[in-house]
Amino acid sequence: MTLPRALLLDSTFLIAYEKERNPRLAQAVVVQAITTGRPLIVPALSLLVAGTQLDGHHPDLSWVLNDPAGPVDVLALSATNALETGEQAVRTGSRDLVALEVAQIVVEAADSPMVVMTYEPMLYKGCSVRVMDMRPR
Amino acid sequence: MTASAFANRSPVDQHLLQRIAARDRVGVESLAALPAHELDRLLPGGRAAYQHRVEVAGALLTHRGIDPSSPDYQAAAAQADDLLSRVDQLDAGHAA
Repeated sequence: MTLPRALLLDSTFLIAYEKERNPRLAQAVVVQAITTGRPLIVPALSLLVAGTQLDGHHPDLSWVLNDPAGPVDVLALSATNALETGEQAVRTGSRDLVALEVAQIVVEAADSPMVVMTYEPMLYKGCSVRVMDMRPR
Repeated sequence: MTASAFANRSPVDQHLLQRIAARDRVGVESLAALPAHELDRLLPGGRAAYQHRVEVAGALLTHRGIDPSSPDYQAAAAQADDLLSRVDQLDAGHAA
């Protein structure tokens, strides 16, 4: 079974999607993923962190995310994963917003074929998740 | 349920199964026997989004005012293709 892996987009990716102008790599990744039927996943806490950084200016993110029947799935916090996320964050010794985001990503993506798309790969150092570094080479 | 049950599903059903499995944090194999109408109930609009994915991607580019034939975007698309080919070869716990 050789399926295209689902992409989990963290806050650094979402911010780049909104702000990047040249090259528009994050946008191109989203377009190529949609075109090839590759699932796109956004954790709720990644959206929260991106929202704090974008300070109310996120027309392009809103456009692609606001359609509930659209190509991007938002992973909500539930009775189960919210508690697990809190527990995971405490293990890291930090309770700031980014630590909570990383904790949700670890809870969602550990032991799954999903790949975390990020411009800050060091956030996931020591975590058992697959990470793709989006930074220019 | 075996992986072959999943492999025998249509491409659109496989796509829906992947999305539902990621959302619900279960393996695709555990869902592979669900009938198509059940997949549609679990992910409303997902089938249409897949079937019209080229149009959806085109609308996204149009919304952003991107000319997909421009040299800048072509370069970004080539980089994206390279990244995505490496995504499918990553091992757990490793960054690329």
